Amino acid sequence: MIGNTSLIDELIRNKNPFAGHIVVRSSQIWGKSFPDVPSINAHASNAVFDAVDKVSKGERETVGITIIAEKGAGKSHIISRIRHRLQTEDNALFIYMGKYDNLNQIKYEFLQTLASSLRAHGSKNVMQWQEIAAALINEATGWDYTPQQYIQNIYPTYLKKYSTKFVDKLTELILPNKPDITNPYLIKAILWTLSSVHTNYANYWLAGLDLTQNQAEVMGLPNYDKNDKEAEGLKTVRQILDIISDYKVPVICFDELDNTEVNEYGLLSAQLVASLAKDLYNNLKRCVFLLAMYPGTWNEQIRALPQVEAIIDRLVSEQLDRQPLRLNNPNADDIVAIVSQWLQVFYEENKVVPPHPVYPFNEDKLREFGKSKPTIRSILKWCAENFGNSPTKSNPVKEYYQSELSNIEASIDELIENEEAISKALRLAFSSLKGEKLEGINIEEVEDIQAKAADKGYIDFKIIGNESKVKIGVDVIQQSGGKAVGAALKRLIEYEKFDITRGCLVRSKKINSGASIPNKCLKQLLHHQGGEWVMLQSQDIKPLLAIWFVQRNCKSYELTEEQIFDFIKQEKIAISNPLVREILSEPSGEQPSNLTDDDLPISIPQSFDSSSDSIDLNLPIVD
Amino acid sequence: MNLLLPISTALCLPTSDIAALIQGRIIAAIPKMFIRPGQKFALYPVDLFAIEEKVSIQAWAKCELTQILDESLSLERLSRLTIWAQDALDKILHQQQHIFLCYLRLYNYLSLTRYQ
Repeated sequence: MIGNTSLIDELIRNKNPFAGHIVVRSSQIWGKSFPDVPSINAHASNAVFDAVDKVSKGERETVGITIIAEKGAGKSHIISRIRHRLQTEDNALFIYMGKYDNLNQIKYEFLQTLASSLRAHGSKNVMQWQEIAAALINEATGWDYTPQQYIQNIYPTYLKKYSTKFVDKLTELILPNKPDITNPYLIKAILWTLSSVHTNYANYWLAGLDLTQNQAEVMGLPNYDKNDKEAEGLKTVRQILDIISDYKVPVICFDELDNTEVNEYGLLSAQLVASLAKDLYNNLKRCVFLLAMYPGTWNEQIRALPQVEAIIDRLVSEQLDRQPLRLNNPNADDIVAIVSQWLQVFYEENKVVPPHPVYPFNEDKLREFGKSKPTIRSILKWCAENFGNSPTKSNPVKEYYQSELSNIEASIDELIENEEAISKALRLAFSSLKGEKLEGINIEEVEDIQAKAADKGYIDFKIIGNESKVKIGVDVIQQSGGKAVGAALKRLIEYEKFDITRGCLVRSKKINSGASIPNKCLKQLLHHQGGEWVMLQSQDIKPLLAIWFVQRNCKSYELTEEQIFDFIKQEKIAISNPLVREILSEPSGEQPSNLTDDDLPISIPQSFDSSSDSIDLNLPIVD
Repeated sequence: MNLLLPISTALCLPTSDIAALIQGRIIAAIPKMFIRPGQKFALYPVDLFAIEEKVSIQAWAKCELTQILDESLSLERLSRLTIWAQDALDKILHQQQHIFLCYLRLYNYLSLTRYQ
């Protein structure tokens, strides 16, 4: 540790721990936590911890808690605190929903959120799915292995000897213990998460997405019926949560409810989530709900719902006055504590000892600032602006962009599967290029595709250029299932119907050569219609996703659209992006050469002939 | 009230409803989506069969409150209190699952003075 003042001052001149970190993003709820002072608004986090305690002791079955506070007052801080505390304990499982991209299929979207939340690590440093899988097996077999032991030793040993029949056998053993589970494949898919080779595909299937024919056959998991995704979604959600709740208390948190989007029936996100929470509350065995929103959202949107009394009874189930919990703005002591906590983390990371805990700030000044009862966000913003000797000259967008970029690094594996995010990020990039000339195209407009209901949701958008002579329809397709890919490609070759002059597929993965419709469409697109397949690579999409996230959060970040577009231009984020250029460039007529393979690597024997009755569950396991 | 505030959104309503609002015969409208209190709109007349090229906007309005009604409430009472026939209300409920009852405060578009 170094206590030299000039070194500290140099550090302060070069680094600003507050910049770019003023808003808690959902990745920070999962990942590294924000510096936290647990005494601030402890009443809110304790309400959740008490609820988990009561439910796990069987004193209560379901508890609903709603927290209200103004923008920037620390709602997401509290959620981050709850998640990190639950992660160190063994009796709860945390599920977080903080974005609502498809309000018309909110139940299906919740299923995807549930699946991706369960991918996150729990207390044992393995996926929460894997913890559940190990508990299921231990209960049915009387074994007592940890998830790590299953992953590293048991599964490899048994899969080698018995192939996939091993998982069939375990499923058969477990099902009698779970009479409420009407879909046996759910159990099977959860068991597959313990096989390192299959875990990604199992996760994919559990999220309601299609596997390729080959994957589905090997793993014995049939693809979902797509006709009623919403109804199936809720059924699956209920069953998954019921399986979980035999072992742990699910804590389901709905955040970021204060947006103004409506579904096809005119209802807002907060209203749809309140109804969803009510449905779940009525149908789950054990659960804790947490909703966080602005007071205005509660008063104007939730209280306007029909049969609101029943909803309120569930959303604030523990409050005798039937009012949500309010967060308090920090007082002077709290402010000194928060700032010290942030700085302690910063100085420890940089191995220096400051002259006093709030250096370079002045404690009296911080206390003075506290008299105005600022929100947590405004305190952090003030700190960012007043840290160091000279005010930071850098572009405010840059700090947020950098911070989003590093968040993306941590979650790129999931993001690369998120067609919606990728296509919106691309759309933003092209919108910023209006008026520019690039790869021989004068970009004039970026527009929605006009389509009837049956064709909606396929081609993502079109880029119009060269006096409307060029209209490139762009479709990001990352799904594996042949049906979904075929349906999308069929639309991409209908130039006249969708008023495009060129179809452009953006995708990183091979298309299964056995899938006839996708391959037929692809050939038509590339060889006969002058269309293009552009290789999606994570290094190209990362900066576009980062700036799109900044734009999405521009209200919280207090940035204008104009600042963001200026930054995109100044840093050449769109204009020099290889993916953007490739989409605009003259099509090569060929498939990209370095596509990734989407099929299972063959590391286990693909068949085992005898029936599962002959499986010996007492193989010697090498530790 | 800031009189220079530009109103960039329009609320589409039947011409007869707009007339009734201006005459003070009703104080609420039935939009197709939930309107948040505080939202401001120009009232844009739309009729089922006529698509006019030029419309005249006579008033703008601010939402004071929106209630959501579903089949658990009596539409007969709402019909008695308003200008809407019960079968028209039944039809909206059937098509949209809900009825959004949006209470509006009206302002004259040209003089920007409040209607009484």
